[in-house]
Amino acid sequence: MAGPSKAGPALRLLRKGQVERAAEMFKKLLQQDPSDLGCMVGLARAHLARKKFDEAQPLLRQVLAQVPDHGEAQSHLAFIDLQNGNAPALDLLKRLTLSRKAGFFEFFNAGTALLQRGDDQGAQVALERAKQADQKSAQVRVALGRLHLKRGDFRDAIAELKAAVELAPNDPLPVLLLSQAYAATGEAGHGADAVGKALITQPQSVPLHERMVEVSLLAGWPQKAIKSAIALRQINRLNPDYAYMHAVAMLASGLVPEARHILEGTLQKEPKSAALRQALAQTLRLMGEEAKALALLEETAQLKPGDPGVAADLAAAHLKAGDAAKAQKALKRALEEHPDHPVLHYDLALAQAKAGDKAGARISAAKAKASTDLLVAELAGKLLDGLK
Amino acid sequence: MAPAPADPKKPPAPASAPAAAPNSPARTISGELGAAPAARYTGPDPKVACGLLQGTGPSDQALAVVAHVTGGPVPVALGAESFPALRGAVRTHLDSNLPPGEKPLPVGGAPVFDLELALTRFHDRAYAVARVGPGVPLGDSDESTQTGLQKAAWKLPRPC
Repeated sequence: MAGPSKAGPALRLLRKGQVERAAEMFKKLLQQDPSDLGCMVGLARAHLARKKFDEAQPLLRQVLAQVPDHGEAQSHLAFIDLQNGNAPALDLLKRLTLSRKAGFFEFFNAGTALLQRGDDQGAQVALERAKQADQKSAQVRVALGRLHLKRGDFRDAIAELKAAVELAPNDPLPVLLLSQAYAATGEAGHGADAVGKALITQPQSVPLHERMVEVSLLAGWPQKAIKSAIALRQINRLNPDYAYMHAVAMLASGLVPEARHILEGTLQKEPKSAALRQALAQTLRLMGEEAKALALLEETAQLKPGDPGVAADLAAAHLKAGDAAKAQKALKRALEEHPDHPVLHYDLALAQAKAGDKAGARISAAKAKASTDLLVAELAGKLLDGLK
Repeated sequence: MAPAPADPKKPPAPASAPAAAPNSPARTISGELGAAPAARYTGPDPKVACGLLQGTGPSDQALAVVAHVTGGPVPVALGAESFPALRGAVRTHLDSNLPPGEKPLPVGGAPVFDLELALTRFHDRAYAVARVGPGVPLGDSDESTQTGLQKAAWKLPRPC
């Protein structure tokens, strides 16, 4: 009779995430005892963790040669088959979850496959079973959290993602998703708190600082956004996006000349960015330099005539100058690329009304009123009333 | 009132702070030249409100925050009433100017964070870090949350 498996130390390495070292150890152990099932399964898992399906397959077949009803090995093989384009493998994956002995990987593989196939309901059932099999799997919590996010079940998403954050405290991914779920519920402050907590253990994490800028701005905490933007610029001085984020945070904080100064510096590195040019034009306008702002917007509209932000700002400038025709021209050009943009429709309605085209204005205002953007819908409604 | 005694742990303060050369603004923490002090802002409060950009992709992947600068509005008079022209939202990231589907190149040697790739890697780690099976006792580091009966179900039969 074969002795007990010697896979223990290598499995422990694997569980700590030291996949390469664990794989080497499994290989050595299998040289000593080629029939060690624990090592075969462990090495197959190490290959699966690195998407080395071709190397996992022979090992899993060897497992099945010894134990034909080995559920995990069958499930992994079916999952690999499915990834290789063999659609009927999905049926086997589903069938394996029905076994009384079905464990974590049978449910996890089936859940993943069903997610890939767009069967969210089936995926949720499988993933919930996987969660029962391993309460401490951060991966299952993230998969369930994403599923809830996708369906708009934000409370459930937050519960799963909070658990994932606790289970994988050194990975930025669960926190990024959690902050997203909070942002979707309008609780960006909670998202900023979660990201701030993660930044204590991961102070150099670029995605976390980027997210901190976003959720802090959303929460109305521009000072926190400025802090993370500065951290990003210190981590990577050459990335113009971080300078731009810094400028937007400064603008949100009311520091207009400082924002303008950063934007002007960044424009030299990113001369074609419409976002940057538009933000700079807004600071120029706020500082009373209307002519410069208009010139910059007109130049940008030449570069990117369909940009909705630039078109709306340009139209506002033309309307301020009393030139409704130019405003309409800019807006109509942008609407060709963004036919459902509510702000463009609203501004166009204003420009048309100003030019005496009440019928056109009513059509445009009605389109703006249908928007899910509450502010635009409300203003468009009032405008429609005024046009009667 | 007598001045407070100097802290012996601190280096002595210079007799006078080094005067900045005229017309040479200080450098900021990121190494750029600071704004000239003459640029004192007297314009309107920018009144920035941030929100989420609608329709920017799947809710489990995209978080597009935009800033609405509502300070200094443009009122458009229509008869007796006046309506504000709406400005475009300011994006919180630079537009990439890349063709659709093309991924940005690393800037300054730092790899660009790719959420899709991070999600895949995180998912695949499940095969390594799973605490269940394959029926091999791991001693005191076995962190399986399964009950004894569940664990027994995982035990592999040994060939005789």
